Amino acid sequence: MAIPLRKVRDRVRGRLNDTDARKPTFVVPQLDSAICDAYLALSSMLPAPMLYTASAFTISAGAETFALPTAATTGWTGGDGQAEYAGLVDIQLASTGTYLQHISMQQMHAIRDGSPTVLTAKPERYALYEASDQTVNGYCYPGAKVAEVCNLFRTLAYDDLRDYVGASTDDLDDVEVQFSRLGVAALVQYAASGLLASMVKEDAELRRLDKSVAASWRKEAEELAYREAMRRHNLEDPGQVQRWEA
Amino acid sequence: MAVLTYSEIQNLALDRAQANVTTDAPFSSAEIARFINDAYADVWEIAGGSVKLADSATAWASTATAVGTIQGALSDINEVLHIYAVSSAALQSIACTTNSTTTVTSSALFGSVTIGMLVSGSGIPAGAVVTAVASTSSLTISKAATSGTTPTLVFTKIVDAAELDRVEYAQLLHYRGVQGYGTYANPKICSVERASTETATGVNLFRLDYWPGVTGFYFPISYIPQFTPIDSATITTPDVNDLESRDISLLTAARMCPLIGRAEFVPSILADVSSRTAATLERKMQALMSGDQDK
Repeated sequence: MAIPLRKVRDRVRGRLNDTDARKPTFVVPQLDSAICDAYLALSSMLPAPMLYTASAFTISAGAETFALPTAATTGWTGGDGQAEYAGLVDIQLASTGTYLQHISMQQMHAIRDGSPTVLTAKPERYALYEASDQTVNGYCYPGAKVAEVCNLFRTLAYDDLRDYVGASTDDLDDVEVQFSRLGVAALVQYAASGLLASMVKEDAELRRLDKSVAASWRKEAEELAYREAMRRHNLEDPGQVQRWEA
Repeated sequence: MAVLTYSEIQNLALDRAQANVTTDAPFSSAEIARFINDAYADVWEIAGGSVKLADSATAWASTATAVGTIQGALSDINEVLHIYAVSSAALQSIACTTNSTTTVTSSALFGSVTIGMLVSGSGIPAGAVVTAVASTSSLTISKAATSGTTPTLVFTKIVDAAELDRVEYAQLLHYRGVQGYGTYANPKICSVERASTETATGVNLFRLDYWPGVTGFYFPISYIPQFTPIDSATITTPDVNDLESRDISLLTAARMCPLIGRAEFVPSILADVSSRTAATLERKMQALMSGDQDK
C-alpha cells in the first residue's frame, strides 16, 4: 500500500484542528516538510524495503570493478532516481545463477595482493565501498573473463519525498508515501506530535488543543512503528528464530 | 418580519419623528437619504456585513500568471474571506439563453453543472450561483439576468475546490525565493494586499500573490463587501436582517428629531432599538466620550 502525501497532510491537519485557511498555524509547505522529516525519522526505526532487479548491471569483460546502479527502476514512485543503498546487497550472476560471496575490501586487497594483472574467470567474490556521492562501487574476484550480467537484490534507504522529480509529475501532492497502513498511521501521529509541540500556546488554544498531548501522540507513533517493524520482521523471518511479540 | 425597504425605512423614520407630511415637509428627500445612510452605515458596521461570492473573472483583472501576481478588479472588497484555486478543467463554458429572469436554459445541455456553481457572463449579476437544476436544459440561478440574450456563460465549481492558505506577504516572498521545499503543480498559499497607487482607478483595489506561480488556474473568492448606500430607485433594500433594518429607521428618526425641535422624542425612539445595536452604540459612545479604547 502507498498513500499520496496530500492525504497524509490532510490527516495531520485534521488532527491539529488546523483547518481554517484564513489563519492557518502551518501552511502546506511547512506541513509537508514536517511530514517528510517524520517519514525519514520513522523509516530509521523500520527495516528498509528490499528491491530485486533482474539484469541490474554488467561487469565488463576483463574488468574487476563495477558500480551498482543508482537509478531506482521499479516500485519507487516517490524515488528521485538516485537511490541510496541501505546495506543489504546480494549479487547473482545471470549466466549461472551463482550468488557471489560478499567479502570486505580488506579481504579483497589481501586476495588481490601480488597479482599485478587482473585475473579473469567467473567472478566468485565481491567487495563494496561507497563514494562521497553515495555511488556504490565494487570489486569482484576474479575479474570477469566475459561480460557478466548481474541480478541484484538490495535494500534501499527511504527517499526524502521532497526530492521527488518523477517523470510524469513532480507535484508533491501526488508523491506516494511508501508505508503500510500502520506506517501511515504512525507517520500522521509522529508529524502531528512534532507540529503540536512547536505550536505557541496561543495557537494551541486557538485549535482547542492541549500541548501536553504531543508526548502521548509521539508515544503512540513509536508504538505503531514498533508494530510495523514487528510485522515486517515476521513477514521476512523464516520462523526458525523467536518471533517478535507485541 | 421582512427586511424593510428604503421607502419603508423612510416612512417609519418620519412617523417616529412625527414629520411624515408632504406639505411643508421639514426634510428634503436628499437630506432624508443622508440620514438613512448614516444610520445604515452604523447598523452595517455593527452587523458585520455579509458574504458575497465572486468568480475569478469578476474578482481579478487577469487569470493566473507564472509570476504568481494578479491585480484585483473589484473595488467593493472590505475583507477577503476565502480564496480558492480552481483549475481550468473545473470551468465549464456553455452556450445559454437568459430570459431576464432567474431561469437559464441551454440547448447545449448543462452536463455536469451542479447546485452551488458560480455563474458569470453577459447579463448575469456578479455573485450569481446555481440554486436549482430543473433538467439538463434548464436551471435556476440566484439573481435574475439583466437581459434576455444568448451568451456563453461560465460555470465555476468551488464547492470542493482547494482553498489557498493565507500567509503574510513576507512569508510568501520567502517561499518564492527558496528551493528547499517540494514542488507543487497547484497554488498552495496566497497573500492579499492593498497596493499603493497614485492612479484614481487603482485606488481601493486588492492584489493577489500566490505560490507557486503556475498558470491554468482561476481564483474565485468569497468576501465581505464594503458599505453600499441605499436609495429609493437602484439599491432599495439594506443588506442586513429584519431587526437591523428597523434599527436603521429608528436611528434615522433619532438623527432627525433634534433638528426639528423634537429632541424629547429621542430617548423613547432609542428605547426601541434592538438590544445588540443599542449595546454596541452605547459602547461606541462611551469610548468616544471617555477617550478610552474599547476593552
